[in-house]
Amino acid sequence: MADPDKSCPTESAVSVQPVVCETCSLDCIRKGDRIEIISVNDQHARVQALRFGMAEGARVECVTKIPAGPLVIRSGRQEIAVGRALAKRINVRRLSS
Amino acid sequence: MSDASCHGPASTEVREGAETIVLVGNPNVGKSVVFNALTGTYVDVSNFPGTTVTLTRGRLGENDLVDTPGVYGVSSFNDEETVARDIILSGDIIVNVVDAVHLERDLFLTLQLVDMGKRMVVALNMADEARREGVGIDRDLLEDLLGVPVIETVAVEGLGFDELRAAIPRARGGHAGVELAADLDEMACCVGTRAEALLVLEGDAAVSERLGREPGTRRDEIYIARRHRVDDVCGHIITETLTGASFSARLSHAMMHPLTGIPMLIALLAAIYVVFGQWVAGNVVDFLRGTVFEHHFTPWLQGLTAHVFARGSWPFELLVGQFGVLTMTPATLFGVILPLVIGFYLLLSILEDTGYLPRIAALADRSLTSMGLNGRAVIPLILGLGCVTMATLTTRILGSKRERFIATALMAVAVPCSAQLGIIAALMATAKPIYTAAYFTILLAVFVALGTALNKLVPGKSTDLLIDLPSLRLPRIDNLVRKTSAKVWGFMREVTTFFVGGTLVLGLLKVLGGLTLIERAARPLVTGWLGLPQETATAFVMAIIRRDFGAAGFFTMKLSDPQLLVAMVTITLFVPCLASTLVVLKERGWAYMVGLFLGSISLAFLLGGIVAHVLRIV
Repeated sequence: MADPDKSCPTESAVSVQPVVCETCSLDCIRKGDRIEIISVNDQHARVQALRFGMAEGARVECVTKIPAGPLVIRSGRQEIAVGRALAKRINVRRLSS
Repeated sequence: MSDASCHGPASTEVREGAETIVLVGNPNVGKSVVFNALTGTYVDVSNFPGTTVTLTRGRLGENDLVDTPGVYGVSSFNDEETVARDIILSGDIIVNVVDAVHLERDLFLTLQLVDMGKRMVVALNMADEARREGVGIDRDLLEDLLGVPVIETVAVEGLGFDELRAAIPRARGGHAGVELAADLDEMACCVGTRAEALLVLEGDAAVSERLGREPGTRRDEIYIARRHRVDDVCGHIITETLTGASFSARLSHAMMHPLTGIPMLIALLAAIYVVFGQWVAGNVVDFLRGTVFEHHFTPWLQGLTAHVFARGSWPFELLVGQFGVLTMTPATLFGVILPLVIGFYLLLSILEDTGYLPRIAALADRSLTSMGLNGRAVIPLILGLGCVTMATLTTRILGSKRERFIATALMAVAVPCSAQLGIIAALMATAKPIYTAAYFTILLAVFVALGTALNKLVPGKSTDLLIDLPSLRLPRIDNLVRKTSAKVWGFMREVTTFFVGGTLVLGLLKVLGGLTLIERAARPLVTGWLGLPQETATAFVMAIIRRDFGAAGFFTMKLSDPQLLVAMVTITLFVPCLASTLVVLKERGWAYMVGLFLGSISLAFLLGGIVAHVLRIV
């Protein structure tokens, strides 16, 4: 498992939100984490994510993480599986565990 | 009607004076059930994206109703979307089926359709399931916000259809997004319809080119605005009573996690093996083929024919001999293939309807990545176990040319189709279990090795998995029965022609002495290298016509267990059947087809020979 507790960039000091601030790629979050999606660096995936309601700005939960495989994220009752390589190209901010 | 020349996908002609009503919705929301209920015709219904490959047209009163493939939005990202897009553009009225449980997802398409300015009605389907899951939906408010009639339906129970039918004449354009209005009006003046104007603004390359316009560059902006509207609408109309992690949620995760998912998959495969390999392929086939056909039907028919043609004469041989059209064809078709194909499609229907298939896709993603595919490829691969020909068409759902290349080759070489597998299982049922195990191990090894090699050799980049996980559901018996019978009927109809034709060709070859020539020519390879009796050459000739037909050729031969293993490995890896070869030619082109043909023949004989030498039967 990758270490999720990477150093946090500048934001936390000025942020008024009472949340843990960490930006990292989607593949380094853990099961049960609530996250906000910051950017999707893949043209096709971005469109699909918008349709599924999981694009930039969406708050989703990591439901499960298949070892070395896809992550399952949920928004409302909608669940999608995201391949590991694609997850590396999605930047997120952790809200809480 | 903007585009009268919409040819392409429509299955029948548009009737004069009739309006075209188009059923549109996300995958797996119950469109096909709605279509069945409204028109009384059967179409394929399943809990998995990608089953409505072709369009189905039926009648609804004076008007025509067209079903479309499930899509998450109107654009041109894949074949399904292209097909759906064109039929939506040419339709008069849209019936948009949405899944009440997944409105955040489904309303994105709905709002896009509203923005297109089409007259429409929304069918709020699975309203009962939503209530059970604690999702309350304010239908009246949704109707106000969208500006189009919204009808609650429970498609599988047949509820709400009278209301839906009655609402169709009230179909109207809804409240489109305001931010686009000015641009849309301006564009619509030039291109004809609002719907086309919207697609041009959204940068749809195909539609823009057709209209001679420069595709817009604001897709992201438009989509993001639409997403905000969807979230806003959902925020107003949905009241949720949050329930804890339900049993189905836990089961869903267990299916995808390797620790629990792999044992579940193995248990499923073991159960399939017991039901198919032992019960259907053993007992049922033995009884049908052996007792019914071999001991009763064939001798009876031969006796009858002998009154007209002398035994051993060529008409006798052609009709009721070893390769007789009236004996071998029905014995194989109804004695072997029918029971197995029924079993396979029933199983596949269960996998589809429960929603297990996309979970297998998530579970298998990691392994498939090392073969240059992503988890989505389990769909064609599993379908390939049914019929490789059909599955080759399904490779269209894969994201890149590279993946289609790899998946097609894997299926043509290393995935036996259900009919062939059935015959192989029936033959292997007579040998020791260790040989069956060896057969599947060899096949799996070839599959993995070929996939890994192709991943290294084929240039380009594969796409990543991004797949929707539908809710797990208990399949409905009536749905399973209808779906299985429709698929079995389609399969048997296609197979029969090939079998009758193939048997005739073989019978003629035998009568004219061609088989003896081929057997003699193939002797060094078949006998010298593979250690099989020389008449097995016939089976390989048969396999070119159909794979299962080739395997069936071994029924009449007495082979030892090791010989059987060699024969089965070789015949499985041997050339794809005629029908799949034609589809491969159509989908992938000449060079690919020839390469595949030569490659699979060499691989089949090379591996068969190695197995033969390892087992020392040569």
